[in-house]
Amino acid sequence: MGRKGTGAATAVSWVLGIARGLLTLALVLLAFFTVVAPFGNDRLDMEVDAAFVAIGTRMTVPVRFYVDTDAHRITAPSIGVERGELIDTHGSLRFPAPQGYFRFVNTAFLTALLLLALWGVRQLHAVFATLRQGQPFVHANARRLRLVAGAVIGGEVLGAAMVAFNQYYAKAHFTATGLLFDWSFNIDFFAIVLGLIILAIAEVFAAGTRLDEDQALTI
Amino acid sequence: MAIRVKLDYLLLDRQMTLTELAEKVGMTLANLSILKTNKARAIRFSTLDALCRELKCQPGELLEWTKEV
Repeated sequence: MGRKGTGAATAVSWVLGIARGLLTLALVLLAFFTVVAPFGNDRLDMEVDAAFVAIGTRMTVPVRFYVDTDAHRITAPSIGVERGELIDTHGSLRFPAPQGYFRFVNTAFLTALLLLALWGVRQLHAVFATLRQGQPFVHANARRLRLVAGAVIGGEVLGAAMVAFNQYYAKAHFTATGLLFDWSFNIDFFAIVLGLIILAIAEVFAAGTRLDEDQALTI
Repeated sequence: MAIRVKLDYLLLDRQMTLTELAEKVGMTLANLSILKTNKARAIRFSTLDALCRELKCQPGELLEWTKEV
């Protein structure tokens, strides 16, 4: 017999519904600016920042760089430090968007990330819908949670690839006095662990569903 | 399922309907139907006890092992 879901499940379901709406809106805006941007001129100075990339007449991309310690001396005389170093420095570089593959690749990355996020949120929304109905132990939920875990891990890899691509682009094309652009492919360890935790929860759901069926078919 | 419940044979032999048996053992018709159609995964001793009592049979008469098809 179904047990009614908790208020928390209802609240999370609402939040996920809003997230779905926002992601859909972001995709629509991305499609709009992708179509309109090539025709942009000075009067139409668009800039859409979605996470860390912009599609428009200007772009903002993530960069990684080293600071030349000879050109930019870092000192703290009050505590007796004569030379400090900035390490693992990250920032955002804004510049007029170039035409060609750079814009196309970023648009493709961003579209893929948004679609992946929307798909993952849809799966989670469906899981919470079953929680609200008080029947979470269904085969579909185990499959949905496996897909969410895949989306989390895949999204992290895709996001890292996007950042690396932009950092590499900046390293290859930009120069700055006293700065040395660099790139790296960094995957967030915690995002991968989160994906694995969701995968473990999916397996718990699969086992729970089998037990629930056994219980229902024990006469 | 390798274990088959011979409820249909016993009901026929005792000239009893599934509804009558359900009322006597205090089970739902749906649950008895699951047993009769061999869709059950397990059977409780209490259920077996009630069925044997009402059908006046031994558990061995109610259950049968068959090769899985």
